[in-house]
Amino acid sequence: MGTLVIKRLFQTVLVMLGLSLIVFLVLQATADIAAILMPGDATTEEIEALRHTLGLDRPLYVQYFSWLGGVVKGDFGNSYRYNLPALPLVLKRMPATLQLGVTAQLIALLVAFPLGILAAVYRGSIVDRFAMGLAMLGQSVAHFWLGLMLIFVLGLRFDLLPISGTGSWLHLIMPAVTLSTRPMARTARLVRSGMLEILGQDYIRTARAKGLAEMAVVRKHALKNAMIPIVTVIGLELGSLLNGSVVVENVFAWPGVGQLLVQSLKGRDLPVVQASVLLIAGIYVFINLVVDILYKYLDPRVRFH
Amino acid sequence: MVAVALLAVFVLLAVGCRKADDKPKGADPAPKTGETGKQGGTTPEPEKKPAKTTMTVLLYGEPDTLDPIYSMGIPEKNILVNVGEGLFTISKNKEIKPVLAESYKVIDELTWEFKLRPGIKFQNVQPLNAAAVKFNYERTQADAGKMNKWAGDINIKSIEVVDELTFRFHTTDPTPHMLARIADDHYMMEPSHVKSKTPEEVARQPIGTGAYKLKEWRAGDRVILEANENYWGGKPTIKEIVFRFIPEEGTRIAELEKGNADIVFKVSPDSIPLVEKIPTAKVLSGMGGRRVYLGIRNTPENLPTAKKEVRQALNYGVNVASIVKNILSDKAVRLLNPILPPNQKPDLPKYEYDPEKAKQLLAQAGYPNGFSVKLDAFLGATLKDREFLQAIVDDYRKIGVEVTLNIMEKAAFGQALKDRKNSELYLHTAGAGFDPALDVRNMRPDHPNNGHQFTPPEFLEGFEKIRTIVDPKLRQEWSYKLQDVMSDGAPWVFLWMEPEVYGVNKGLNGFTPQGDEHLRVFYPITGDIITLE
Repeated sequence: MGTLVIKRLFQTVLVMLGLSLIVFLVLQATADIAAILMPGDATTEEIEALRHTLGLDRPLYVQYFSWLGGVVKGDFGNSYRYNLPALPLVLKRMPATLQLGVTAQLIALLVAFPLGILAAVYRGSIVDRFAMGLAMLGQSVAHFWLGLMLIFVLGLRFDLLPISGTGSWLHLIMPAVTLSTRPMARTARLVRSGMLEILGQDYIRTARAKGLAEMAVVRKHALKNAMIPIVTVIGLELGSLLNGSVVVENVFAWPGVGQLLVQSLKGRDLPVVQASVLLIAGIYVFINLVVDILYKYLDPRVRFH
Repeated sequence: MVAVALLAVFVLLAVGCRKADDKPKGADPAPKTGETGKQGGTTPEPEKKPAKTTMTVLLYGEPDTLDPIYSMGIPEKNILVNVGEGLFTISKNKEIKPVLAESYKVIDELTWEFKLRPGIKFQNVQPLNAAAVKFNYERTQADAGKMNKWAGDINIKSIEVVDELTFRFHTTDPTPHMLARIADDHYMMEPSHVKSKTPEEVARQPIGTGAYKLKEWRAGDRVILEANENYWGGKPTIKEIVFRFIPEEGTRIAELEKGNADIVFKVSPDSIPLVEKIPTAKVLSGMGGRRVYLGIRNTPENLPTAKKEVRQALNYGVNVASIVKNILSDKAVRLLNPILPPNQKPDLPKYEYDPEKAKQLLAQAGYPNGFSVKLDAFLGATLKDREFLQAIVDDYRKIGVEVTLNIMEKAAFGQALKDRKNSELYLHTAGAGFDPALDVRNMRPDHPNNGHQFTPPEFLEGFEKIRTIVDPKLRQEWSYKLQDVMSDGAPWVFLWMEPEVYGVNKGLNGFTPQGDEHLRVFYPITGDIITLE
């Protein structure tokens, strides 16, 4: 077990290193950053001077290793836009994004489990079709559109919720519901298929045959065993929620990392983009690691494999 | 079903737990009587509403910094224009008016003397004096070459303090555009504050002389300004300004409709009818300062567009009036010349849409059957670019010019221009300079954005003259000559001035969009005083 964890940790470090290289190169390759940062009427000399000040005139590999050296120590450099250290800027926005992501995940689970279980138990019935229809809708609806529709209906027409920004937990509802649609859909479908597979097993028939109530069969025998693959997906969904928050935070003016990332990309604020992307990727990789380790506890087959 | 039920529970909870202060603030409930929502509609006023003291402004982004020497974007300028003041500012009719300066005189062509208004204090009660101005400008000189927006075009060699309120700028070159340059968001910050704080702190806590001071900056969410009760120009009627940052336009307009906003920035042409339908709101628009044009490549000589007749034909060949009317909601004003009013020559010729004349000019230039060109553009630079570019391609097809759109990423576009690897045509915009020399600064032959390379000797001569002649009368003569050269030589396809469009609460008075996208809430000296009912 210990070796497995160490192996996975080692892989995680490699993944992060690879990621750092991609993040660094892709952004550096897109354009002449110094020219973009200067006012439109800047002379070539002024642009050259800025390039020198920012160290962008050095060979790429020198820039990469010097940047990586800083990153290891938690120093992503100063934001070009804010003239403040990039990592604290991103970290300051992280709680808002996590709050949104975790709430969305909770909503997703609250909806997805009953939906998936009902669909499996009443397979082929109208309940199943409705549940899966809803899941399909959740999977395919664009966050951007749903966000604006919620604003229009709940914020404006019925005046039930605040439209944008932060301030109270009421502000959280619409962005979290918008963000929850995709994980809700995917989890519901997975719960349904997992439950269906388990419900067809011999031990379920045995449980029913020994006279257990259907509720107990579903809850104790089926759901518990169906949980194993679902945990993996829930973990991955948490990571993808961070990506989804980019659109949702912009629609609802939610002051999280997603909004900062979009603004920084537009303004070519490399240190902030690099810090945000690496941090989000890091969280994603970390969640994966935790899920992998958790998996080994949940599923004895993995432990003995 | 479960989802719907859960959602319903949430909503019920939301309603149940709603606090009294969660109710929409801002405008009073929508009047039920027959307001049209359109500008100038009849508004029966049953009783006088009490004046509101908090104004909410919805910007589309967060400021990068509130250190004026680095601020370049509209969000930061709109906050800073209320916190700080410059020696001069741009007034409603686009004239340059003194603010902190009381008077100035040109000693010789390399020396400008300014006198400050007496008795002005910064928000930390320190006095504004000549030494403070010297400190502010020397700080920018020391930092030239970084992302400092004050240093360019100002040519300051040294600053001399003559007495407590008098100082002189000694310049390296004649700088006739000095006043326009220092009126361009050069806000004075209090020296002891700047000296005692780190650059990061200076960027977050500006201390100027303005009518409002910074109360709070909530990252990613809002900046709150409160009235400076010791303001030298009087007592502001609006006591608090809340600038919120909402990137999505639909969300900004929804907040306006709900009564949570008094001014919404950047309303696109498509959204104008939406705002007009809101009973408590109106649309305010003005001629913006951003010029939209197609640059036309003049080099190498074998290009069709190197011929003057071809460039003129390209100007006659676009139905600008139709695009403005049908795509830009009739809010944009036709562009006649790179140099803008009030410095524009009266009665400049206009290229009216005339496809026949365009064909004739093409034939004259040796292209009776037209030719093919590429047009570089990056999307998002200006309003409705996707739509009007198609209209332009169609118009050119009618005169035999086949245009292939080359849509690029913004950075790649900028790089191509800088390396002079741009196509024959490119879509670009340029901000107003409020001075002839500043209006044409990006036409300097070595300017990174100069992809047209328009360099006839008469242009270069005029360009040099308006940058160096200090005598206003003689300078105007040269400016008019230069404008004739540019109108005739057509380095650009002159399109339009991008409009400034705002959605505004009907109870708001005293706001006139003036072409620089600045919201001056309390500037008695220029007559800009915004009030709210």
